Amino acid sequence: MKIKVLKPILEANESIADEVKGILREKGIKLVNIIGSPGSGKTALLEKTLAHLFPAEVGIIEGDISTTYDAERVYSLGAEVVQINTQGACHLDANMIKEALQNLTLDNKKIIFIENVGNLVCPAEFRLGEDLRIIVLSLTEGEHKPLKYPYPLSFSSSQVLIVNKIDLLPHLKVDMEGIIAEAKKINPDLKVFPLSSLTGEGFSGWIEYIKNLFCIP
Amino acid sequence: MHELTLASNILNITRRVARENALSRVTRITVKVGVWSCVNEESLKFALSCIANEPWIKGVNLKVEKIGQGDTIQEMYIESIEGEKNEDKSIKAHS
Ligand SMILES: Nc1nc2c(ncn2[C@@H]2O[C@H](COP(=O)(O)OP(=O)(O)OP(=O)(O)O)[C@@H](O)[C@H]2O)c(=O)[nH]1
Ligand SMILES: [Mg+2]
Repeated sequence: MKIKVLKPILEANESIADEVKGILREKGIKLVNIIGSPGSGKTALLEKTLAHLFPAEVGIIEGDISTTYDAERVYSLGAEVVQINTQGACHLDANMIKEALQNLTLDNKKIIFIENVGNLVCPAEFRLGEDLRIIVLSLTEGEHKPLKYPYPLSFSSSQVLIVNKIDLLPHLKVDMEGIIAEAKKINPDLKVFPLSSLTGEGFSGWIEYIKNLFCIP
Repeated sequence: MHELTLASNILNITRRVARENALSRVTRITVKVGVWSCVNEESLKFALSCIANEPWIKGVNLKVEKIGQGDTIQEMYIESIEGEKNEDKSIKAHS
């Protein structure tokens, strides 16, 4: 006999993601999931972004396969940090976030950033209960990234694309507009912010966007 | 990508549905995956064959169908399972 099932394969993850969303909504906290290749500048983006927010109101969940280096970088700037070591797993899942939340003081927070494991393919499949998903792509990663890999799910499921390391443009033979056009082809609604997490160039647009979106003065 | 995670989710859901429907054996699982989901069919089949080794599901045939329209483009879901019903053995077989 044949039985219709029609259940999402990742339904267990989905329902925990909804739980996470519920916990944070009750506290009025927004959750941001940052996805990007290793070395694209996710931690650097967080460091520079923290300088424009009140670090005490920001929580950070650092997902790395191993070590606490990234957590230490943002902790030193005054944000409360929880490190998740995935011990080899290539992505964070909603259950890891639910557990991490138990180690964060939620009462004084307005926004929690998750730095996902450096990887552009796997993390995209796992909803973590985020309000905003951003993808960090750096100009040193080469051309045609959006269409080539292909990991279009990362682009189609995100709302923001950060094109990082624009300070390096003079040294590279890279077609930034072409990269942005490819990404927009996959997701026309993508908000794109070319910036440098080293020099801070281009940051005002990104900071204004996130403050407006989450009503942060 | 993470086919083993997907396979173990498929196994868990299938076990639950099989119990609910008092199946003693599951012979086929049909899943639908969006064309953008980056799921590798061969490695998903291999992963499932590695973990589906209890008698009620051993040798199950996994059918992967691609979908690619409208909002379903990123979805991955179990469409149906097929198997045998046997009132006597059903509970014991996969408890
Ligand atoms: N020139 C330049 N270098 C940058 C910029 N952003 C980051 N970097 C450098 O790029 C390297 C990687 O940056 P990280 O912030 O550690 O990258 P990540 O994405 O957090 O890396 P993983 O956590 O390992 O996946 C570091 O050496 C940074 O200093 C930028 O805008 N311009
Ligand atoms: Mg990092």
